[in-house]
Parts: sequence; structure tokens; C-alpha cells
Amino acid sequence: MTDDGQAIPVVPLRDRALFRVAVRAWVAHPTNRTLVLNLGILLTVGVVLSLATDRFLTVENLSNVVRQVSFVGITASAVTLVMVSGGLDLSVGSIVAVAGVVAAKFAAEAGWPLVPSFLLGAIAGGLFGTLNAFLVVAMRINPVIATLGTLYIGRGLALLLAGGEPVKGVPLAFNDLATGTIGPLSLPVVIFVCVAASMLVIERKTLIGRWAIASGGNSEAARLSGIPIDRTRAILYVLSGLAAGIAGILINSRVATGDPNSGVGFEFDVIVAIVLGGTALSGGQGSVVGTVVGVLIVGILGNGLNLLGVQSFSQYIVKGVVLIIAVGSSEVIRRISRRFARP
Amino acid sequence: MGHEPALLEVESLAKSYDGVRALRSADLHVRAGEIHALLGENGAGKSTLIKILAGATTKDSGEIRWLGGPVSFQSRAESMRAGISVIFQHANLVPQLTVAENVTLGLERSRFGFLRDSAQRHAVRDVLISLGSSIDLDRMASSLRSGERQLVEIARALLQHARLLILDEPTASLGSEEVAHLHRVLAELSASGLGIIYISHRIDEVLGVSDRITVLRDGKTVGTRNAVGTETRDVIRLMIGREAGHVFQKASHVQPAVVLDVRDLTTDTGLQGITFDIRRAEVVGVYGLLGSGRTELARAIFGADPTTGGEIRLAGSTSTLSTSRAAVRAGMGLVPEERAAHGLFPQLSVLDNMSSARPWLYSHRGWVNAGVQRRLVDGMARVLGVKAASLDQAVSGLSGGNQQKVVLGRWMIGGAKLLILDDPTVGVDVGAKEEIYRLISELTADGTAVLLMSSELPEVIGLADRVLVLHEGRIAGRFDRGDLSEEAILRCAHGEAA
Repeated sequence: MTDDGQAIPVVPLRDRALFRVAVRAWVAHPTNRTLVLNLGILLTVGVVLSLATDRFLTVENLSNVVRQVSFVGITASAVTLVMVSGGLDLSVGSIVAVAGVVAAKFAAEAGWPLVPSFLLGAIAGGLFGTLNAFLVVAMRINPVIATLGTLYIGRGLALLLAGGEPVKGVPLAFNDLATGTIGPLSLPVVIFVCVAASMLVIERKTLIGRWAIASGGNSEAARLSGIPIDRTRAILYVLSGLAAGIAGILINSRVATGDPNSGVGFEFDVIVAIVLGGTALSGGQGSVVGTVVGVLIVGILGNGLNLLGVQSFSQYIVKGVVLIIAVGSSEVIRRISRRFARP
Repeated sequence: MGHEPALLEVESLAKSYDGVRALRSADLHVRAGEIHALLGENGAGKSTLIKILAGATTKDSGEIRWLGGPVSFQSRAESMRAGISVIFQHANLVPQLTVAENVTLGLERSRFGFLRDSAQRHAVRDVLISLGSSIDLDRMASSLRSGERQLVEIARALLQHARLLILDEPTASLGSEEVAHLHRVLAELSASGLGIIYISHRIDEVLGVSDRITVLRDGKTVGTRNAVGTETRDVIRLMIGREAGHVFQKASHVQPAVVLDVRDLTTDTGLQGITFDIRRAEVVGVYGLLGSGRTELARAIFGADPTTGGEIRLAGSTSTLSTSRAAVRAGMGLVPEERAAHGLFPQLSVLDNMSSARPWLYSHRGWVNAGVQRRLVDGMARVLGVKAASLDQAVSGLSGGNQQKVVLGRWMIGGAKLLILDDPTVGVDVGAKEEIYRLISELTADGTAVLLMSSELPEVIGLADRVLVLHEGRIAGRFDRGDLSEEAILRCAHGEAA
């Protein structure tokens, strides 16, 4: 019989014991352990910063941070699922530029209204995702190579389309998407929350999510269980492209044009946040919640360094060190604790 | 028996891979409600037959009738839908998912793509209870033991209402109690009308559990028998096409010089106060149930796991060995239990695999002398009788027995003071097993000491000069060749005082 058995009247004590069992099972999951650790880091950094500078813990500053990270967050939420399924998407940086240039071109030169222009930009991202899906899933090209290839292709395409410089003649209202608000929240943040929530639902509550974990965790078992691995991975690549496209139109709307040089290095910000959040590069393991926390850590750290007046060159170094420490710490902690356990 | 309808009829099935004929003419008839054992040496075509039934590959010719009608499965999903469940040798669970999620893997109930796990929870629990299992549904699969993993896989088969269950080497990694439980479960399942195909190398075990047996040799069915009234000897004769000789030819060459001296060895992996020594040309057998610390002992001596106490001294070296590199340079060799994962470089050639341990024999200041390397490996491959297309063939294409010879040869090139063999005949067919036994005797004739870890009692008794019995990480008993008794060793291994 299992612990959580039958219709016996439940006494509170048993309830508590059950709760403890559930908590222990939850913590046993490596993704969850990372999450606890990361929330600790987030809290510590937050406390330290609010003591070190009085400008940190203000509504204005914090909402500013969240708005800044929303672009990376939107993309990272979707790429997390690609990585859980055992893939990788490096092309998101260029998709940002392609989506932005496409939207700006339609708005400026074809004279389209803004809403369909933006939609087309996002769809262009989705098309790039489809290309990734085709290369990785149908042609069986290694995802690192395939999406590295589309990263170059995307950048070149954006530069060609825009003629090497930001698109001219974009209506002023092009800027409204990034600066608009819904109630007290800015539009990019609302979109971030919506995208992250959708990805979370996909991860936890749908067949695609379950199949993604199975495909990344043990692809042979997944295949032998009759799971459509290819279809699962393809869908996730398309979603990832679409999310990068959405981030692209937001980023370009912020600068009120279509900039073919936007999103350079963006793909690494995305991967760093995901890996910080506890997603394994080898697949099978990871969560959207972890990624959101990872995104926030990166954002708050950058914000804190700015507030403390650390110059941007040094910030790169700090970020690199933090990444290595955060991801390496679990391994180091494990080794040290083993040494101390020795008699 | 005999009245049940035919569930599966396979007639003269053939299949070639790249011109190599894996199956020539396989016949197999399985009735509902029977346990049908499928036997044959490695390379006899068992796996190919199963892959075709599973829909993982397609046949070239021949006929498969399922429930009376001809079928040809094009995918795993098709075969699954027809009611054929396969439990492959290496348990196929997703470690990052829970027990319940693994049981329902590929069978998830959903509405518009949204999972409805709670709707399936009761069914999953009922199936597990019917298998006599109390595994918590929310445990991660990564924390399950082999026996539990297998039950989870069987539960998955039952949940999809399989009519035929195929088990490929289900007991390869199980302890004896787990095997007994598995056999009870299978007997109950077959009594309820399920057809079961059972594949195993352990012939005694197969004869005990199955109703009928079919033997494959060189891709052909050479006979189907009732298990009752068939003896191991008969099965072996069918499998290898000749009378099996004496399986064990043990000649003792023990010399007085001590080769390895282990004192109070203690490790994080559970070994406690292990003390023993091995002399030149001696075979010391180490027997123990699953989890008793056999593999852990092998790894600790070889320097693969860190030790927390005690010392390991190899004759001629003054310090305690603490890394595998030091162990190899001191003349030690390890044939690991997990051949594929720890013993081979699957993509590399026979040549590179066999010459990987002692590069100093054919190189000078980092420069490889390819001629010497090839000559060394070629000589050893001949001694061992490795069957390969050429020395440049990738080792992954060899049968289990030949792969094991490659691993053995790696340590025999240049000679070894001490060889640690961790279950060297697991997953190896009868013919190759005999050859490995012969090699062990030959090794000791040359003065090599052998530490033989084994899960097969007859193997230990037949080959060892001395036997150590492990129980929960400690040495629970020591037996000399004179007073080896199967019963005493088994009692010892189960923790009863000898």
C-alpha cells in the first residue's frame, strides 16, 4: 500500500508526516534544489543591495528591472522547453533583429498599420523557428551547429533587408508597444508574464511538456513508448522562434525602429539565465519557474552593479564569475561535504 | 496447456542488415497464457526477432500472424496498439519523471492536449498493487532499484492492456529475491491469459519459469520443447549444436608470493574493514548478492573510487594505490561489470580498444609505432579468438562475448600481475563463457592473479582457489577450495553465520 492510501479519516499528525514526505520528495528533485538555492541567492542579493543603496528597493527601480529583463525572459521561457527536450536554440539573437526589421519595414515602407506589422514580425520569428525545426528534427543536424548556422543566416538577412542600418521612416507610434502600459504594469512585463505562464502550463499540464521531459531525459525510452519525439521537438523550436520574435518586436519598438544590429549577444543572455535556473544542457531537466528566477538574478545583479557605480567593463567580469560560481557551486559543495563527512 | 489459441505465429522470418543475415528462418508460436522462453547464443537472432515484433525494424520476408491475421508492424506505436509490450534489457524509464508518469508514458490521457493525470492515478495504483508492489507513485524514477524499475515497466505494459509481453534478459541485474518475485508475478500474469516471451541467458532459471522453450541458432529456429522434461544439457546442445564439454577445467597454480594485500579497506560506497590477500597465480572468488559490495570492492582496489580507510598494496609498489592510473601502471587490470559503459570505447576499433591500457608498449616519447601496436593486438586477438571482420572494425559491432574478449585482451597484452574480473560472463553466451573460463585458467598458468567477482555461484565454485563472501560491505565468510559448499556460501551471503 502507498502512504497516501485509502479513505481512512485523516488525523492531523499523519497529515504533517505526509507533508514532510512530500517536501522531501520535492527537494530530492535536482531542479527544485537549484530553485531553492537560487531563491536564496536572489533574496541575499536583494537584501544586500537594499542595505547598500537606498535607490534599490523602490517601486520605480524594481519595475524598471523587471521591464529590462522581460525581453530575455520571454525568450528564455520558451528556449527552456527546447533545452529540456534535449535541444538548443542559439539563433534567438538574430531572430530578434529579423523580427524587428520585418515589423519596421512593413510599418515604414509598406505603410501597414502597426498591429499587423508587429504580428508579421513575430511570425517571421516563428518561421525561423520552423527552419530550426526542419534542420534539427527533419535533417537531424546537431542543434548547436544548426542554430549557430541560422544565427548567422538571420543576422545577414536582417542586415540585407534593412540595408545595413536602422530602418528609416518608422512611425512614432512604433514605440508604443514597448512603452505602453496596462494599468500599473508596462506592456513588455505583461507579455513576459503571459508567455512565461503559457510555457509553464505547457511544461506542467500538457502532453507536449511531458513528452519534452521524456525526449530529453531518455530519448530511447520515449521512442519505445511510442512518443512522437520529432513532433514534440519541432513544436518547441517553433514556439522558441515565436517567443524570440515577440521579444524582437519589443526590443526594436523600444528604440522606435527596426535595427538589424539589435540582439547581438542576446542568445547568450538567454542561455545564461536558463542554465542559472537549473536547466541541464544535456536535457530532461529544467523548469520555466527556475528560468524566470534565473532571469531575475541576472537582471537584479546588473541593476545592483549599476546602482553601486561599477563600470560596465567590470560588470562583464562580475557576471562571468557569478555564472561560474552559481553553476559550479553545487558540485563544489558536494565535494566539500564529502570530505568533511570522512572520519 | 495446449488448448489455448495461438496468440502469435511467426513463420520463416528473415532479416538482413547490410548483407549480414541476422535472421534466416525463425519460427515461433506463442499461445495466450503461456510463458515461452526464447534461447540462443549471442548473435543467434533473438534481438532481431524481438525488434521486428516490437515494430522497431521491419522484416525482409516471412510471415507474422497476430491473433490469426497477418501483420507487418511499421512502427513501435503500431505494435503497441496491437497489444505487444516489450521490456528491453536496459530498463527504459525516464529518470526525471515520477513512477506514475513513467507508467503512463506514451499512454497519457489528455483533453485538447492537456494532461489528465488524476484520472489515471487510480488505474496506475491498482496495476502496481496487482503486481505486489508498494512503490510510491510520486518517487522519481532515478531513485528506483533495478527490480522496481522492471515492475514499473511491467505496470506500463498492463496499463496498455498488452496481450503479449516480451522481456529481454529481465533478470540480468536482479538479486535472487527480486528474481523470485518477478517469476511469481509472471506466473500470475500468464495465468490471467497474457502471453509472455522470456529471454534469458540463465538456462536453469528459464526452465524453471517457462512452459515452453524455443531455441534459435544462426538465425534459425532449431527446436521448440516443453520446459518440463527438458534438461539444461539438452538446451545447451541445441544452442551450440554440439555437446558441451566440461564447463570448468580448474587446475590450481597457486604460488606463495603475495601479489595484493588489502588491509581494513573502508569506502564511502559501503565497504567496511575488508582484509584479504591474493597470491601469485591464485583465483580468489568474491561472491555476494546484489548490493553486497562486489562491484564496489573491485572499483576500490582498482583506485576508481576513493577510499576512506585502510590500505591497498600491490607487490613491488611501496605506496597505497589511490588512482586507476597508478593501479594500471603497477600492473593491475579491471574488466568492469558494465562492459558497454565502463569497459569499451564503442566507436573505436578493436585495435584501439585492445591497445588502450598500455601505450608504453608501442610508443616512444608520445609517438605511436603503429606497426608494433598492430602486431601486439593482432597476436593477442589470435590467442583470444576474437571474431571480428578486421582489427579496424568498431568494437560496437561485435557480439557481447567478443567485446568481453577485447576488454580481457587489453590487460593481457604485456601481461598483468592482477586482473579484477567483475562478473565477466554477464550477458555473454554459453560458448563465449566457456572460452572466458579457459582464458582465466590460462592466465593463472602464466602467474597472473585473478580476483573474480561473480553473481553466479557455480562459476565461483568452479574457478576459485579461495572464496570470499560479501554481505553488506563486509566479508561474511572465507572458504578454501577444500570446503566449498554451495549451501554454506549461500547462507553466508544471506547474512547467516557460516
